Amino acid sequence: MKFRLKDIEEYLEKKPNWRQVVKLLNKKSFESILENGSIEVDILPNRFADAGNIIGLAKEISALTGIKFKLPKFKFKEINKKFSDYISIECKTDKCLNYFGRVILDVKNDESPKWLKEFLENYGLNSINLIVDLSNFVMIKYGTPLHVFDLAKIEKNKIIIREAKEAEEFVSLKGEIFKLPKGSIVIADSKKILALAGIQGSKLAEITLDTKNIFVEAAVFEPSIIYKTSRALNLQTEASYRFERGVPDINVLRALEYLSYLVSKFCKGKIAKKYFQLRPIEKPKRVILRFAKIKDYLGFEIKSEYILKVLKSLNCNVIKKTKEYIYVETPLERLDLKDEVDLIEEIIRIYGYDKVPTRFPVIYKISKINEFIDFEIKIKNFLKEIGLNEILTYNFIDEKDFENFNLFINKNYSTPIEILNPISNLYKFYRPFIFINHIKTVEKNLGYYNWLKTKDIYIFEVGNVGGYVNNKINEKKNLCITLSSENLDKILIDGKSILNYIAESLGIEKFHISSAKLGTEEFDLFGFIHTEVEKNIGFIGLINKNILNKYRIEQPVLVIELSLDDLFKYFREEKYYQPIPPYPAVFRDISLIVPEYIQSDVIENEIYEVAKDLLEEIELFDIYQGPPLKDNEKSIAYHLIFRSPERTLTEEEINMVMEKIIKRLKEKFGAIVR
Amino acid sequence: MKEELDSILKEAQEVKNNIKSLQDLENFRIKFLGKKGLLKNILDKIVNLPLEERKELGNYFNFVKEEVEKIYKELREKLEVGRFIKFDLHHPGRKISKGHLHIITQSINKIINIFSKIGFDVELGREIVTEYENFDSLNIPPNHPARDMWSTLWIKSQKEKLLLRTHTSAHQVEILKKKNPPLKVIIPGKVYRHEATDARHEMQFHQLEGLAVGEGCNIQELKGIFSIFFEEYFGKKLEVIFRSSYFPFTEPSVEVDIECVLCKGRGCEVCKNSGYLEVAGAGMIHTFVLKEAGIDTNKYYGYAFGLGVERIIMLKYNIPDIRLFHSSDLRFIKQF
Ligand SMILES: [Zn+2]
Repeated sequence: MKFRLKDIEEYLEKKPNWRQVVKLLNKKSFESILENGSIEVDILPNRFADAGNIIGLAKEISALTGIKFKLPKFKFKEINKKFSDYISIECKTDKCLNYFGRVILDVKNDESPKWLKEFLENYGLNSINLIVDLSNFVMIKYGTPLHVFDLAKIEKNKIIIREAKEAEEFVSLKGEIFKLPKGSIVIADSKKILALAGIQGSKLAEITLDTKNIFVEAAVFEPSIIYKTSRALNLQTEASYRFERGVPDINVLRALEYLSYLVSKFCKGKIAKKYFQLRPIEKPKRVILRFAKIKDYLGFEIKSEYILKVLKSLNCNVIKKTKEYIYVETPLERLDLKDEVDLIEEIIRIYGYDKVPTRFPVIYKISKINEFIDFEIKIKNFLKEIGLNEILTYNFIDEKDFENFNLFINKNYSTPIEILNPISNLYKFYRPFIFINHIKTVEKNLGYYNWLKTKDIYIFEVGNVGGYVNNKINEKKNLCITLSSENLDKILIDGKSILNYIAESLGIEKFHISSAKLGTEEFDLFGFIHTEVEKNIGFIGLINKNILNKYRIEQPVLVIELSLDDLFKYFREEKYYQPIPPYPAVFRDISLIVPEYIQSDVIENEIYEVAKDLLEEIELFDIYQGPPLKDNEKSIAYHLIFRSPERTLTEEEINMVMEKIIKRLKEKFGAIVR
Repeated sequence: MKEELDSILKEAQEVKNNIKSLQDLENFRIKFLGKKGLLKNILDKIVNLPLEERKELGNYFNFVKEEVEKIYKELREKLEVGRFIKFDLHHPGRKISKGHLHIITQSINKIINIFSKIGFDVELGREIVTEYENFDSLNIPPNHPARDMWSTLWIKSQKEKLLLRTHTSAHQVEILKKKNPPLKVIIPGKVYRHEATDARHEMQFHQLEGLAVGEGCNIQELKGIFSIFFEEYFGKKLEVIFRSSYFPFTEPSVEVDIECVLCKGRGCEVCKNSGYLEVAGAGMIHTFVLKEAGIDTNKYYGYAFGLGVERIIMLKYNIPDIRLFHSSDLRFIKQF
């Protein structure tokens, strides 16, 4: 908020050194800057109630600088007739926290004088007419929005403060009609709504140049109701802004008196005797401030005399002081001072954070390694070491992405997570998988081909994904590896190699690929990835060509997406010494031609069964399909490693085992051994 | 003739040491073993001898020939090996592509390392949280203007109101409940805002939450923590300044500034000539929050802080635009 220096100076006994004031405000209260004759102050939300106005800010400056605060006195006369002869007020809701009002008769409303227009312009307000302008002038000085009604426009001279009925209509100052949400507070008469409390008056009770008698309202409404109504109607005003942040009722009353004085002075109004008051003024809050607590918070002691001095400069009323604590009443306008900690903050900020020395931290214990984070860092490093680049993408996908992978997403989640208020349609869904973002990343980086000098894009990302499963959000952390190159064989083989590498790095024996299929809607090649125990920890897939076309990508894209949470379960870092085998191994290769549909796993299991304990390891090293083989055939080749823990195996022994294996494979799969 | 053979062998053994190149070796071969060479010459003579003599000399001839051939073979092996190792060390080598960790990963690792040295554990939390976790538990009630401090991305849900966490503070109560004081924890994580993006604003970025409860967790120590952290992170001692501020979940609250990393307080473009940079928000954990976690506020107190990870990375590496971090532009990724 921007204040004119001369407006604040009116309330200080001495003109302050403004450069000094700005320095102090910045450190101890609010960010502020000085700019030709004005001061721009960023009042903190919890202090707007007391300091978001000229008088309040002058009080704050007084507390910081020690310059005395002064409030110019004013006086006005009341006529003999009582306000209640002209108006009656009924309050039907406890959401109106307090309500004051005065009646002023025979006012001469006019255009505002130049000084007033200038004042309002400086505070960003338009001049309407003298009475309305004076009420805004008071608001800027006291921080209290007041409202003036034309008494002649109030039916039967009776005001009712109540809650609005569902969809009740309110006519704004501009003449727009709003349907109010139920529970909004309204100021009404028997026929119509005169004002939407705390937000705006209605055109129907508006002050004009012809207005003769007025009713001035000074009220406090429940801040959360004002907030709710103003958001629901998207109607934010200077008044609603202030009421949302709280307005002290003591200030409201002070402002009412000041405005009455101004109207009597500038509009020659006659003030009716006494004012309406709904409830007594709120009592000051009482707080016990313990010296020990200040020391706990600060780390060292501040002298009690200094603490007392600060409390007094803030207009706190000290009721009692002992060796252990001070018992104080906080000023009525400081809505933020409710508890001990609120006062501790006041003491420390006025004392000055710059006077607080730094101290080396107390260390309670050696910090524990978070095993998951440790695992995550390790896996990222493994992938980096083999030349992959880690990227981060936005955790959202758009409608088109969703449509492209609709079937696949629906197989994994019952519903996607939809953002209620997306920033744009590009960020409509929380991503169900990472790989969808990576397709776009490939597209984007292929566009940078001239900089990157390669069309090989090898990337990975670790991040959260999610969707609804059985009406519950299932959020998890995934790892996605994406390989794209003009060379299809390269990415397929590299993809499998990377999987092997991850398995080995994590101490998982092996990943298995199951139900590898061709030609689904989303993938030209697809397989689930699982370990010995876990059914499904992810998948590997070659993105369908038609989909790639939609993303304008002309080269194949292979994606591998794994659940990091699941992988973590298999991560075995503890290692124990295994004795080095005492006997040497015997190596044999076997190369078969089998029907295409037979999976390698099945063949491997069969070989293990025949060879029993003598087979130490089996490694698939080649799969081939194509000429000169028949269409439904494939050739498949393994390295077999035999070893016995008890003796050196003989060639003859192994030859016999090999024969048995070949025989079994022939019988079982019709394998041709080459 | 035996003498002739002896002298051939002797000569071959003598010239052996003079052979330095493959050309020399070829000359050696032609001279001794060639079609018109010394040995062939003698063989022609031996063939014409009577049977007895032929037999005897023939054996000796074979012996000499084998010896010469052995010399030839040895020399060839020696010289040819030399030829194979000939490699120009100016050869550029084959390119082995190097991978890169994202600068955010690298930096968070570094931050975790610094804090673990001063006794902080690391915790993680979910990105989708309840309204209670993100707001109410932190003294930010519904229909309160304090909520406007965080523009929120809400999620369509049937039961309770869910949202993408706007700050890592959303995990304060959960972690305070889980761990008993005394405790010191940092929580790094991705946070989300409903915000128009530009060079300084992002809808998705990373925060680091700090939380410490126990004897000595006071403002003095809080200042110490920042002093140590920034010195370790930026590699130079920087003055830490606290300014009074407001957050609903801390009381007292401060804004944390450091001396400008670039100009060391003299004033430059980055610090808008102030000499200082705003880097974090902090304060003593509000008693409301401690009570919410069931902690006895008469016995315990502590501090909390929040740090923008991208913000300090941008300062350290001179990165001008926050949107680069999630751009997945490999021209950016490969720089770190
Ligand atoms: Zn600077």
